[in-house]
Amino acid sequence: MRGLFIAEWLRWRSSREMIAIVLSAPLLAALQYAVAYFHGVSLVAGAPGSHPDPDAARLLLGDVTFPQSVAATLVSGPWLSAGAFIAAALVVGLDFTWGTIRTTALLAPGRGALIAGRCATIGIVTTLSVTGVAFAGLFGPVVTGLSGPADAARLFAQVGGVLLATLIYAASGAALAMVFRGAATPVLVGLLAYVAQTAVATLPAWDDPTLVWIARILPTEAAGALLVAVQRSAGMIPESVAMPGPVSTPWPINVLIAAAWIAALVAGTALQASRMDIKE
Amino acid sequence: MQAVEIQALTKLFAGRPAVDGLSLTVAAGETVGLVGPNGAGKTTTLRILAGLVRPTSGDVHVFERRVRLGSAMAGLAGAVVDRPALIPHLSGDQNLEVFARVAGISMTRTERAEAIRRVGLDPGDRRPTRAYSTGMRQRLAIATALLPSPRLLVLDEPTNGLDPSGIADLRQLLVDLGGAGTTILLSSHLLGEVERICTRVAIIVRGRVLAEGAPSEIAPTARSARVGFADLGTASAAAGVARSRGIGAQQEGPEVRLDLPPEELGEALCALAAAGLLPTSVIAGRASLEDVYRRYVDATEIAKEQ
Repeated sequence: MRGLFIAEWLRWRSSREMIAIVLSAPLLAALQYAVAYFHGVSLVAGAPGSHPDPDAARLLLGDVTFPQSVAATLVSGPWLSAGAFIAAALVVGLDFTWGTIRTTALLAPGRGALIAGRCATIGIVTTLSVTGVAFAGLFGPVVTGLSGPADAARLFAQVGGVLLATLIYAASGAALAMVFRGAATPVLVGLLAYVAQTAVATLPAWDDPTLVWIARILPTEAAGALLVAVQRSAGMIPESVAMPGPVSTPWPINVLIAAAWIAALVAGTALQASRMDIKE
Repeated sequence: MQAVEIQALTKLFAGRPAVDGLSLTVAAGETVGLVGPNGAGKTTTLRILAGLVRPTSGDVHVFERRVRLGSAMAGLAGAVVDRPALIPHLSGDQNLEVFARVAGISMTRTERAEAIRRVGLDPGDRRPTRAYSTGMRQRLAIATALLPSPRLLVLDEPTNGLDPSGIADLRQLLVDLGGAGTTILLSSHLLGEVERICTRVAIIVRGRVLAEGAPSEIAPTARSARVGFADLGTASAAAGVARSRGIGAQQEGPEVRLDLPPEELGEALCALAAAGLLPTSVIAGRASLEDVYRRYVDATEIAKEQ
């Protein structure tokens, strides 16, 4: 198992494509955070000659922009989710494209161990990316004195929520790559599935409390609802604002649904790997 | 001890048999060649043997361990099935490092260099394998298969893409491995090479073993003669006369290849002479593996047409 894990890291060391994805997704997310940061600073500073409202500044710095909203701001763009999905699809799918699935399947102690090594790598890279960017984003405002001490519990809850949501996308990328035995088709199918789920989730019919549960268990909607819960906890969406449809799900249920999706997708990937004929 | 035992192996793809009740045994230390036309079921058989593909029915055992889909073969068998598969952005050395780790083997740079040198490649070549020729990729794939020092080596058309000197190098490598006790099961279309390397040959047609044995055992069962004639028309007529007497006859230009036991050759020549078809040359002798192969394949094709 340890050997498989090391092999997975060695496998990607010189891959320009993988390095570009793994670096660009957090960088774009950090850029998004930086834009929000400077936008917040400019709002606090106010226009030249104007006198900023101290209460508004406190609200922006303390409750909305920094630091409690780091995770929420990071995930308000698609970079981490898309990066995790594509990277996972490449990790699993390129093995089929290159035909190396044959070689690895022949040499590995078992297909279950092989998939466990892959999933562990994907999980660790995703976790490092999300937490790394989140805490790097937090570091700036704290050391520059623009923010008071963070509410640690809220912040960790947010990062955890973002991580779960991102892991859903990563697990989806791996599962689709295993089903379609390649890297390109899963990316296209994933994009179409995302659009389809978003369209379904915005149907007026979701006012019906029975139907809304169907939307709640869709993977991207579960991830989206989790992120809305994160944004609510950051104060970016006031409690007074009513959220219709799937996103109204209480956060503990969102967490359960997200965890169930991750477990189901990983189990499905492992099951498919253990049962499939390798003809590549 | 049997290295490989395949019993009544069948694999259906979309209801059509790729392998159809194939049985074969390979004793430990043997080098056995599978020959047969494209689509005969050789590669599918090797894939099942390597645990890559699930059989529809039948049993496969490697060193008395039953092969199941995805069962661990590392340490027991190494295989190159189908085209060589390598990680394209890594060098040969880096590929070996990755695959050694997959197999749970920790190799030093010196050991990897030796493994690369063994298959006739330059360990100092830092180019990514996407820049390798087909022959170089094939050699590196064989080095990968040899990583766990397998007791059984399974190779699917290992000479694909190799130049003549590469084929000679591979032949020597396989002979050395066989001499060291490694059991080798390979498939190939290069019948001359199979005849030189293998201690036993199995002819597979339409998913079944039609004949097997040492090349020297199979060949006498199909002794043949090449009878030359002055022109194509005479050769064609001679082939017709031979067939009318129930003798397998294949026209090859101005020659006719007759498949018959040597004691019947004189009688056949007399029949041709009686029909006014006088040969200009007669070459009788032991059939080559190619002759035997063609006889079986042709017979199957004729049976299929009928």
